[in-house]
Amino acid sequence: MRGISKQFGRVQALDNVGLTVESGSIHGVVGENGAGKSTLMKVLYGAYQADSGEVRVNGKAVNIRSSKEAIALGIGMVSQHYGIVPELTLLDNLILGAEPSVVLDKGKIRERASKIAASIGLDYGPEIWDRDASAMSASEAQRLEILKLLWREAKIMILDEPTAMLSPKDGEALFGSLRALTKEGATVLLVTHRLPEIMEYCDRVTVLRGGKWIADVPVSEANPEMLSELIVGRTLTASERPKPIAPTPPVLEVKSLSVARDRGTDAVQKASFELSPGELVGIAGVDGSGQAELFRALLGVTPIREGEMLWHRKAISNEPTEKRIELGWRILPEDRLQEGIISDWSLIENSTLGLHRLPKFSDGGKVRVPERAAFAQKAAEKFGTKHGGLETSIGGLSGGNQQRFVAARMTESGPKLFLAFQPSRGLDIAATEDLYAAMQERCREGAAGLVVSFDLDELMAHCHRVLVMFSGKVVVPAADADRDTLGRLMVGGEA
Amino acid sequence: MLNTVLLTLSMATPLVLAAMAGYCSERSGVINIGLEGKMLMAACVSALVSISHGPVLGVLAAILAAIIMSLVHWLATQRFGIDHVISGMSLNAISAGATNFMFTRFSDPDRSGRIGTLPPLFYQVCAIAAPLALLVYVAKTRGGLWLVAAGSDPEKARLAGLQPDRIRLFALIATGLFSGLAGAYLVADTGVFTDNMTAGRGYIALAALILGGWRVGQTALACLAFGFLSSLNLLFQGTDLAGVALPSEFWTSLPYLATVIALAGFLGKQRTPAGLGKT
Repeated sequence: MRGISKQFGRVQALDNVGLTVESGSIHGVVGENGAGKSTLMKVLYGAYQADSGEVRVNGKAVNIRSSKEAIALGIGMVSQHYGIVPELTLLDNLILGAEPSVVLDKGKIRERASKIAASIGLDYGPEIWDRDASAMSASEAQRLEILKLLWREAKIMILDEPTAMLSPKDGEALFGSLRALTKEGATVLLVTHRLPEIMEYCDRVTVLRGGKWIADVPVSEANPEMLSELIVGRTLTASERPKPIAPTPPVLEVKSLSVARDRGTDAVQKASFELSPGELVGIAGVDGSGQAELFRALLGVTPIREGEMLWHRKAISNEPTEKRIELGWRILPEDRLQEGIISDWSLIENSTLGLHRLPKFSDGGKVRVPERAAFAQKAAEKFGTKHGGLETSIGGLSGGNQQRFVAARMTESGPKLFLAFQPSRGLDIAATEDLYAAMQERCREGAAGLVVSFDLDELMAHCHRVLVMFSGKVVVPAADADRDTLGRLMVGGEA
Repeated sequence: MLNTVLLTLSMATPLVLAAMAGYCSERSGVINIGLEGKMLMAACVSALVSISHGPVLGVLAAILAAIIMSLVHWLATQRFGIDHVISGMSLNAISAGATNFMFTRFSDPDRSGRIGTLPPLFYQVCAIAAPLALLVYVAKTRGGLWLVAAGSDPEKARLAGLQPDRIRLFALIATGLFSGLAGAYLVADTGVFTDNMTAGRGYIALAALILGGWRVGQTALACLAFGFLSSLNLLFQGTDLAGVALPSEFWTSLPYLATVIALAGFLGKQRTPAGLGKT
């Protein structure tokens, strides 16, 4: 790819960017949010049209006008938000858009599908193929996306933040299969924020910053410090892990709390833990261990089946969500698009979403317009959200910029207790550091924080204590538990 | 007994055809509240053309009319981004006015006797064949997979290289075909065209589709159930049941009452195509 430029409205997303990838290699593309990584990949995949520049595949100049044409050229992409249609079965999703014939011979298709799955070490029988895609976990969805690329016989595979939702073990397995695929001639383009992935698995790495090409280096000549300097454009000081704080009377007490699932066993089983003021507590665990249900129950969005919650020693289980927000509870939800923002609304309108009833922003039935605008301005500045005006709809921002804004809404609105789910999702290293610094700052001011992340290292680096959730149960390990102990607990082992 | 079965089948025929029309549209992601209007337009056109050009052309013209209305709906929703429900309701309103106008204007007021049409049996065979064909189509063909994908998540379908707009275009043509047949059957069954003769069948078909969870087999069964309730109307109207004379209005309202109760009671389980109404 040479001289690629792309403009969205007033934002220059890509400015004369070049990228050369050797066939049979794993090539990393790194950069901060808004650096243009995803945009560059979407240009290659035909989802966006570049304003200028040229793309050559195997030496031939090509003009990719749609994803369909990209697929025909052997280019496949797994985007950050998976392209899986929930109402179809796994098999239907696998072949969608690349069906072998007009009339589908499902028996034959299943056979070939299982063969492809076996080639990356998955034992997928017919009963798995006929499952509904909506019932898949994040790691299963990720695997299905890889299988889709293989079904399409894609030679160039673009993976955008593939490990964002995976446990460390699933991530390793993914890279294992990618390695194997490159041996068979596939080329992998890996967009990521995680430098260890670059250092461990990539052959070369291209760094983008602010829509511009910065560097292209072989990984053998690179080191993480140098890369993060190239990415951020300044030297980062690694934050020191905060020490566990001396126990004080808790602000939040959760006592044998259970949350029912639609059917089967409880999603959260007799969870008990406490938060002291000034404490930032992490919840580690693989995706789907009940973290989402626990958060929803804490916020009062889903009912609890048994147990109770005390806030300053007063039962709060029966108070509506609105009341909890009034008491200073704030959330950074798991699914930003579904639960965190209203895409069509402006940044200003989104800035007080959920907080709109607070006296600060509402005068009886009237919106306090100036206060709201001032808050939106503050929230946008806090983590440097790049936007094209506070009145424009938030849906036009990149995922990382939306996350910055939603995160600032939580930290800057005077939280007494904040619940952050995967706060670093879509954020780069620098923004993640800034966000945790802000959360720690709020804790120093006396707030308590609960952070769920699937990235154990991230929690260990920033939280006072780390709890573990496994299969609906909350385990409270010793305050000084080491990484191995926590890792074992995450998969159901003993401390 | 046999009488009830035959009546049920005959009452269910237009419902099944209309429900299948709705299935094609809604599975592709286009909300179709305009089934009623398409049926009514088709009934009127089939009556007018059958009188002047014979029954075969009558049916074809009915189908064509319904397809044209479907295409207007496609243009409005997919090209101009008009709300699906609003577009559907306006088509219903246009249909109600236009059919009344056309029929009084273009047909001979002194004409008497039945309108010559294809035998009702033709439509009944269609009503049996349509669900079977759709079942096979959705389960076994590429087009069927595309249809469901476009209705489930058009954005992701686009990423997979599909063109949801085009898929919906073809789906709406199929909607026109089935609702055209449904409308023409009403004229074939009664031998006349009367003002607003669809009498809410388009909405009942939609209710059957919702009750059936947007699945072919269950939807057809729901249509049969509604057909049965309608047949009770004809069988029991004016007769005493265990010595009690229920007013005829009770029997007439039965299918509509059942629609309301069924929708209220069964909507708990969400099966709506996730991409319904999205672009």
